Amino acid sequence: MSGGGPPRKRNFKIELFKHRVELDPKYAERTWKVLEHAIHEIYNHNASGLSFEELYRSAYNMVLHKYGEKLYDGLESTMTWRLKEISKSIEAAQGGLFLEELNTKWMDHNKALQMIRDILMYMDRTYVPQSRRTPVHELGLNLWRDHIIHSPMIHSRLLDTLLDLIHRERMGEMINRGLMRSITKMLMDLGAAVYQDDFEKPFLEVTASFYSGESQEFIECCDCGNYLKKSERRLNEEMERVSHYLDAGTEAKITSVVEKEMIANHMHRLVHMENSGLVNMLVDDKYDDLARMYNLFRRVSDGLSTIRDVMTSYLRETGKQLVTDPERLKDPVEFVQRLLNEKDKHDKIINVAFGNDKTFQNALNSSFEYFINLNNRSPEFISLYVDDKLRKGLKGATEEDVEVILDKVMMLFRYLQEKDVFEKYYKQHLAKRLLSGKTVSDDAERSMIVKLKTECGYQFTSKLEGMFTDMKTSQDTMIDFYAKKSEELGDGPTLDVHILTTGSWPTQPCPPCNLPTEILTICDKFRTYYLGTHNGRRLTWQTNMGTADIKATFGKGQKHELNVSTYQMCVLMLFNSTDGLTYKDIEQDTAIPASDLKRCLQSLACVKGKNVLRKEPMSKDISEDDTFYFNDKFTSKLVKVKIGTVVAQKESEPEKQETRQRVEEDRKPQIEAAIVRIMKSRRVLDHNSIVAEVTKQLQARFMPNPVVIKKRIESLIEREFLERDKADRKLYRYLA
Amino acid sequence: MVDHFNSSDVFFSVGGETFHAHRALLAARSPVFKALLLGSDSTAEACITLNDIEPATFQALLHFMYTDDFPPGAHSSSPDSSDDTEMLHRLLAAAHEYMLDGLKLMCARKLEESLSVETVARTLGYAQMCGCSELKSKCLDFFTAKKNIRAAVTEGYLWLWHNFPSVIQEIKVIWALEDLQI
Repeated sequence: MSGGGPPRKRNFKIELFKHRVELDPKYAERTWKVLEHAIHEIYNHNASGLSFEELYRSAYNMVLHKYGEKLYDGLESTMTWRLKEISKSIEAAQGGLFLEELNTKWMDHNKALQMIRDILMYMDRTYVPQSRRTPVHELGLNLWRDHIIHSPMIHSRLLDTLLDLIHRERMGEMINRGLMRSITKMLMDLGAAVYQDDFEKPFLEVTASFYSGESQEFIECCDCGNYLKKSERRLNEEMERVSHYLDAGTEAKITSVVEKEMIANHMHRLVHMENSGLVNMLVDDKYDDLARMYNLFRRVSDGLSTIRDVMTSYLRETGKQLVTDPERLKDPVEFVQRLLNEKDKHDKIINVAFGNDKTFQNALNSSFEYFINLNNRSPEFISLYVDDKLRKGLKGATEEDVEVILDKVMMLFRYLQEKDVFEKYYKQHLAKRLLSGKTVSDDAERSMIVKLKTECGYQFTSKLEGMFTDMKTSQDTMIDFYAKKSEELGDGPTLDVHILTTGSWPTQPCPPCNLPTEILTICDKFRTYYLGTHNGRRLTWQTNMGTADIKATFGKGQKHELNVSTYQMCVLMLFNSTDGLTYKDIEQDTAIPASDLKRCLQSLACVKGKNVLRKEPMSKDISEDDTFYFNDKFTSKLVKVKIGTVVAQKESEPEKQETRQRVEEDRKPQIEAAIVRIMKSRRVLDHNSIVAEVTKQLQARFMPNPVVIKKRIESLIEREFLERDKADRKLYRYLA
Repeated sequence: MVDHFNSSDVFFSVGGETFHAHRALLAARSPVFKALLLGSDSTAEACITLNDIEPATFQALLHFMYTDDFPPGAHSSSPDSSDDTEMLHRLLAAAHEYMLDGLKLMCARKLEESLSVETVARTLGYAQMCGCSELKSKCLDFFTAKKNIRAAVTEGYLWLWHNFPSVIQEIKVIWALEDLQI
């Protein structure tokens, strides 16, 4: 205490009063009573008459003077008492008012709790943590939970009311969503466990049985498309419900319930539904339905794989029918076009409805690969298709159109397992196109070669490119020939020679036929010229591949220019010296092989509009007893008449066998080369591994037959490239 | 800002004196004022009467809330001025009640610096009441230092003896220990 100085005003009484530790218990009780009264007033909506400052101080003093426990216990019992009263009033509410009453009282309670917490702030911050008791706000929530929500009279009624409202909304009624929102939020505020146990779990169960029933009902009376529409609608509805008045965490749970009941449980029945299932949708290009199915099924496990499997077996089945239907196989170009159309159709489906899903693309590809190779004429037919396009089909098409079509053909090409067969036919057909000059566009031809090169490598196309080179070189040669020898040649027939390098072109051995004298002369002159500038080469005339343009004058003086094959020219020239000849005469004079001769005569005498020869008897087929006469009475509207037969067409059965045989022969050395390559690097290897490795190396060109591989190995053993291991017969060793 | 009448939206009547203030600022500085001024039980009344606090103390409180500092001239140069010490005691108690921890700390430090034989007992009591453990332990050290034995015969000690028996016990224990050491 300091001395001196004027007496200070000091409010002794207040100070001592305030800071006395040993507070009169009666004072404490009085203070508590003030606070208790305030709590009641707050719940009675009479808070406006209270002074926060005073109440705060009262509570502060109690705690300061070590009466925290009394204060807390008093709070707890007062609040409990009030909540029990509230519970009664809620229970008493009738029908629809029950939920509203609950909600209103909850709002009131929250507001009251807030005020009480403010007043008891000091206790909350000091006494509560020190004594490890529940903070005021949490206490208020727990008491609400225990005495209202879990009160037996209210608990089940609340759940039933909520579920009933949701059911009604599902059946089309409008309900008070704001109220629902408020109630579910209340449950969440009381703790996630309360929300889940007292609402969410039963809600999910009820939902499951609701949709179990509804899905059963729908599937009996709806077709697949409509069922899916309804399912989609219900799914969206449930998600919307969550966003409006349920907790966000429920969304994943509810959608999985709906997915299970409506989709997963009925997946197979839907996909296979007669007249409306997946296959029907594919056939009819129902993009919307397909997209809907895709989006719904991807939500459930195995959903997409189910669709994929059904689609794959449908494709394989349809494809198989396509390639084995004898009707379809009559026209190769139509056949391939049909394949391309199927591919386009399903590409579009996958693009538009299945979101370009790669796994579906793969399924499509593997299906096509499967059935295209079921027919071993596929390589030939695809080549014929290209031939048709390059010969006339692409006439007038823009560069882009050309690229598009060729790219599509390449897609089919990729599916072929026997690419070497394709190569053989492509060469044949290309040769005919080049030699007859019948190609729509040089650029298109080149473009195709480039695509094949990109796909299969330089080896595949080097000979094809050689063919183009030969054509160009020949052109240059002819220009030079005529430049140098024009005086010598004078007025004879004009010659146009294509010089073909033997390795590049698909030439068949050709027995020479007897050319007319005029032709022979000029041919010899050319031979001399050429061998003069190219030492050491050998020239052989391919009389089965040439063409000729002949000027012919008929009975009434009509002049026509006939475009014919070399063989046909030989035959026709005979009629310059006589009017009639027997088959045997012609055969002898021309030395043309029988089958070729028959075909040649058929096109000269038996085809309407092209019958420059008359045959007796007038039958359709050529027999060796027939006689032929120059047809004076031949007429044609065209001045230039085409009678040539050098057009690429589907091979006859014997031709086909021949080609196939040649292909098999060509494969043998390729297989052997592969075996040697492998054994050289691996030194020792067992039989099965060799077969696997050889297949891997060659599969870009063709699928080697294991039996053939075995034979080749044996042949290599005989020729001492390999040996069998003494101990293990299945093991082979490389002999250096 | 405390003296600005303009833009203030509440005033306090304390012991007959009037103080203007801004709700938002007070609410930002003290949770108790926040509940009082902005809470759901707050009053929209323009004037709030505060009992149980002296005008000078309230003024210092306000000044702190606006400036983070003691009012100018609140502490004189002589550390022994018990007027100042009393003021600090009251300010400390007010800061504790209105939950202004920054002010509490400042008061505690000031009190630490100005411990004297006359004031240590009271300061010790306030430290105990307001939960200032550092201040309390400094006071105990001071109290039980031999040269400060006269502190035991002050009025403050009597006050301490009446209101904080637990603290008296603590002092006795320390003395006993010291006796043993001698």
